[in-house]
Amino acid sequence: MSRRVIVGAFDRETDVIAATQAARDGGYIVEDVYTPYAVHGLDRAMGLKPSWLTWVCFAFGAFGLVFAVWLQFWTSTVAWPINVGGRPWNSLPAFVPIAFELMVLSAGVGTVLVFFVRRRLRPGKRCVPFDVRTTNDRFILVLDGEGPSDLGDVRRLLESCHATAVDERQVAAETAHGGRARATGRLNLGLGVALAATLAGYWALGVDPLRPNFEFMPSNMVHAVSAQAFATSSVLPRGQTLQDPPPGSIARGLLPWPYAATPEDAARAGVELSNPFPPDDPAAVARGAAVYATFCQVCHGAGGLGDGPVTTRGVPPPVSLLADHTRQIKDGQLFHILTYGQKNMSSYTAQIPREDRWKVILHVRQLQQRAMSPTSQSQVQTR
Amino acid sequence: MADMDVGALRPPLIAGHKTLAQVTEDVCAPMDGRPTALWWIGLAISVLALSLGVAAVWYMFVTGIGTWGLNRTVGWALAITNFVFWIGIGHAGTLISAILFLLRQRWRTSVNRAAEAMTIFAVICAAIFPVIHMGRAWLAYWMFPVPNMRGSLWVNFLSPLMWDVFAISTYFTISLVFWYVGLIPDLATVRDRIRGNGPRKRLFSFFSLGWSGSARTWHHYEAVYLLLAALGTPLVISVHSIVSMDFATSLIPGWHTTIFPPYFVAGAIFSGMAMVLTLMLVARKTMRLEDYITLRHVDVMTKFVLFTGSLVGLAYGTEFFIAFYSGNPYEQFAYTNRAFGPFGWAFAIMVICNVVLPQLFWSKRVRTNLAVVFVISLCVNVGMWFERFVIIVTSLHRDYLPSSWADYTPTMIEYATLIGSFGLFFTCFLLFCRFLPMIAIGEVKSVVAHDARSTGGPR
Repeated sequence: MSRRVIVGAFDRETDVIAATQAARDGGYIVEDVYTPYAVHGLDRAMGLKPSWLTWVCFAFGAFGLVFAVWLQFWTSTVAWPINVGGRPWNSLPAFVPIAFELMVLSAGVGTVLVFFVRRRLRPGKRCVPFDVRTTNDRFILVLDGEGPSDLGDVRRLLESCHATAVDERQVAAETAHGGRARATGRLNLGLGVALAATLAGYWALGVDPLRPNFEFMPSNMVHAVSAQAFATSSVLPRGQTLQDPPPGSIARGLLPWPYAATPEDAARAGVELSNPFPPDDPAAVARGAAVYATFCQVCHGAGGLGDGPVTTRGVPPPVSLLADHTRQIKDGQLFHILTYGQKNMSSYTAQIPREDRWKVILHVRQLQQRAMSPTSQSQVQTR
Repeated sequence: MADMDVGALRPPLIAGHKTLAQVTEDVCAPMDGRPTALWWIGLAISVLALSLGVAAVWYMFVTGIGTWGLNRTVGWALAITNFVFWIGIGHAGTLISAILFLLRQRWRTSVNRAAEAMTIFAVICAAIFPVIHMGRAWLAYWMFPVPNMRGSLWVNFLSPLMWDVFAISTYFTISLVFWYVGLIPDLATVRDRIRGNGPRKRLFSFFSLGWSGSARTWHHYEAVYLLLAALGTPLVISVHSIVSMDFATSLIPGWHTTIFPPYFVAGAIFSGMAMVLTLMLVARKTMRLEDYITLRHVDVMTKFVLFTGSLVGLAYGTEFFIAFYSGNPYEQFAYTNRAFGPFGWAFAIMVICNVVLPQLFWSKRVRTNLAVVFVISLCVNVGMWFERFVIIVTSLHRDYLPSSWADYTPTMIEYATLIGSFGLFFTCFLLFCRFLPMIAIGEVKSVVAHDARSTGGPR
């Protein structure tokens, strides 16, 4: 089935606008105008309403915005809330950038797709132009020729607007539907083949959930290299896996201890060091008492008199901790003695940690104080 | 906008009193026949550089990210510098295609197609860097909030790095759509020029979507184009603002400043406009498009470079002033170290190329001397690369704790990756110049018609 149209060709945009206006004024139906570029004023001459795609754009933009806010709210607050630096889960200001981006993305892509669908633009569509020069430099006006119109009248009208050629053509009526049906059929066939190929592949390859996944990148950390601290290394400096600590570094929990095991340094420690724990710290004093009972009491005795149990079995008794001489030894020097030992006493570094050595000194001071006070003095003497 | 009558006061935008058919011929001429020797040489060098980059990236994937010169203190360096540099390059394309469209700047029609293509290729180059920086690029899809079998464990939407993922992917998609929508009528023009029914004709038929030039389609097309421009304008500003927030939301002195978003956007347009100038000066010479990309186009673009360059200079000055005025010793140290520290030479290159040299554009003699314009545009590109390097590396390498201070030297692998990104960019651009109309034929035709009406000359 075909129908008749009247085709006028023009060389200037002003002419085609004038001709379009004149044809509409003359009662003809303007089917379409084909132009090499967007001619401004032609939409008015053709009587086209403003494009409704702005509303489509608004709708897609609103959808994108709402979706983005929902997605961020739901994932961050409902589905799996994660505490990031103590910030609230529902941090709306932080959602603004992504909400904006998704709004733009949705509005832009959505509008273009609707435009393509509405104007029937799709990849591979064949275009049969009235004149192959429409996309180059010619303006084509197409009028509906089905009515009782006389070609001569139309020709005179269009030529008064400087038309270069006017003739009538037969066009196939509404070929769009047939084309679309064919395209849909082809698409369905393609999708069917793809589905069949996928199912066939699934059946042929099989699925074994116990099989490890294919390892396609060697550095995917599937096989982690566990380096032994004292093994040789091929990549690290000087072939060592465990690198030397930087000069001047100290082990965790230790402080510098610039004293040697000499009497001079012992005296110096007494001058330079002081007990980090105050004597009125009950927890430190209690700990000191416990340490004393465990490590010191066997020789020095519960009261510090140097009468511990081992002294009755042949071990030479130590000097009394309550003696005047001992009382005058400074905390730092006592710490030095605990660290390095003195005379028969050996070093207690291995048994008593640093802080406990200071705490046990607190306990010794307390024993001495108790011995000095009048009531306890008599007790000691009577014992 | 066609009705805006500028009269005979302004010279026509397109020189040589072209007819519509001549425009088609001139723009399509480089696509016909054999490419020139110069084109082949350019493509060979670009492909060589690209191959070098591919080899470097492959070596990095197989061996590990330790092949780069990064350390615990300087965890971001050349790769992120390149990322910000390329993203910035892209911004001028969107400025020309979207913002200048909204501002009714008709001169944009001669350069917008190439500038948009530049945007797309630059964003591709940019997107590569954060992805390969992850070390395991094949897991890059973890950045998107896809339902997964880990719970679903979702991405952290509070992180600016996540905002970046969305900003860059949206920017790339919208730029591509904008470019393609603009290209459709021209693809149809080329399609109708090709005689016979060879594979080239079929390819152009496929991608021109059956475009017939119908006024009813043009009517909606214009609306779509305007909408895309209106969406692209805030988008382009948001993208570099978000990129700057990668730095500004951290607590590193030298990064943690509120001026970053506008400063980065100005810098992006500055560097991008310089790149457009570089490319267009080469293209007009080698593709014989002197009538389309005229001295007036160059003049307008140099003024853009001057303006944005001055904005960038103002931003540099503001940063130093705020560091002084804040009384914050860490800020003050960061900026003293930036100017006079171990990377002071990079800072000097940045200031000379970005602030001093563009000031020459105040002189009309400089603006019309194309050789000088070309050299300055190259310098601006170099200077803007160094700006990102200075911001990233000098801020990181001396942070709060002197015990964690470190130095940074890029490795050969990093240099090769940078060269590879330039190879990718120019390979894409040369192929684009050869196989697609690099000037928007349809838009130039409407300008030619407008010129003819407003100057009364022959059309």
